[in-house]
Amino acid sequence: MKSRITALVASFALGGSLLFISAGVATAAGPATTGPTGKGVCATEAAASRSSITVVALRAFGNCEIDRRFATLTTLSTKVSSSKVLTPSDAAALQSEIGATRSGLTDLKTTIDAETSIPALKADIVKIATEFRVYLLVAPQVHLTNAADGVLFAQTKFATVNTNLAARIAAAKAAGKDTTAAQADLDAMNASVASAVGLAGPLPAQLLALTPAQYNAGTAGPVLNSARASLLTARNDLKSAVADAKACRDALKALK
Amino acid sequence: MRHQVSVTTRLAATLLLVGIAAVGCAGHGGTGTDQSAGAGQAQTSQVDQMSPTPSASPSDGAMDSATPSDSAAGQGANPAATPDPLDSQLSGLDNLLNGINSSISSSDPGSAGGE
Repeated sequence: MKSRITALVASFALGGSLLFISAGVATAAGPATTGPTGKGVCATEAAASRSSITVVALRAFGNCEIDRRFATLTTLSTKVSSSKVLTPSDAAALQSEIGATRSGLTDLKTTIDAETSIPALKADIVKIATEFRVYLLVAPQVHLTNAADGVLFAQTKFATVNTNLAARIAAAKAAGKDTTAAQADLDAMNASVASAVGLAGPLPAQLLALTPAQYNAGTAGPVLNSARASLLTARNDLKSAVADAKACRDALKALK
Repeated sequence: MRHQVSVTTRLAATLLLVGIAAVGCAGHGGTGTDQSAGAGQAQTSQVDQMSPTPSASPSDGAMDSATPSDSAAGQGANPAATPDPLDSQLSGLDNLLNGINSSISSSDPGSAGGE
């Protein structure tokens, strides 16, 4: 009886400790924080500059808008530097663009801080958006180039899966099994990957070449939209490819 | 009879020590899974499988964690079951797809913070 109680205590201790470990792991990663990049960040300054059009109010609004773009650029730069899928040259091009944008905005901030004319200040504030296009051009360039390089990165991973599955098909075939279905799945996987890569391949060069001037002229927007549409199709292709790979694996398992 | 009680008591004492050691590991931030004894093996493997998940949780940065999920992290996690490397490769591709999806969504003009 005594030994049973001791054993019970021991098992509670073991189970409790495992629960404790699990909870520790589960709570280890907190939510990611983001900078003041949202649209509403400068709402107070915007309202103030509308209610009393003064140099001080306009300058405060302009500086707030520039500061939130700085925060966005920092977030984008972090995304680029932490990406495991961007090619080194694409990452360097994006970092260069982010750096140039930050530098241009810094100069504009200096101009705004020194400006004393209300009409000139208004014109400078318009430039924050039109000369840099942080949200409508730079951010999409980063995200879409990352996605395109992600598709190309996936190609190498699918190549490994292809090698793996092809070897299993060969072994099953050598053992006298009917591998027709598995081979069809593998062929479908490879076709989908090829389609996705064909769509994503040209995109980084197209995206990285875009400029704020092209956006203002109306020529960059369609390129961004087209790239987004191509990447959605490429993503669906890769989804199909994963499904085909799983079907192939399952078909081979069923042969055993 | 006395001999049987003694053996059971020793076994219970050993289990208690293992439990205390596991709590100690948790307190130091370790997983303690490498030292898992037979009785706790199934549960500790779950702990190992949970470990990569929080690091892959930020959806926007899913491709940041593509390498860990593609790597052998999942392959060495469960020594008892000898996992199929193909399963971890496919799981890595699922994560990569999530990252691609997240990047495409982030590029949407509707999610932009302004002009």
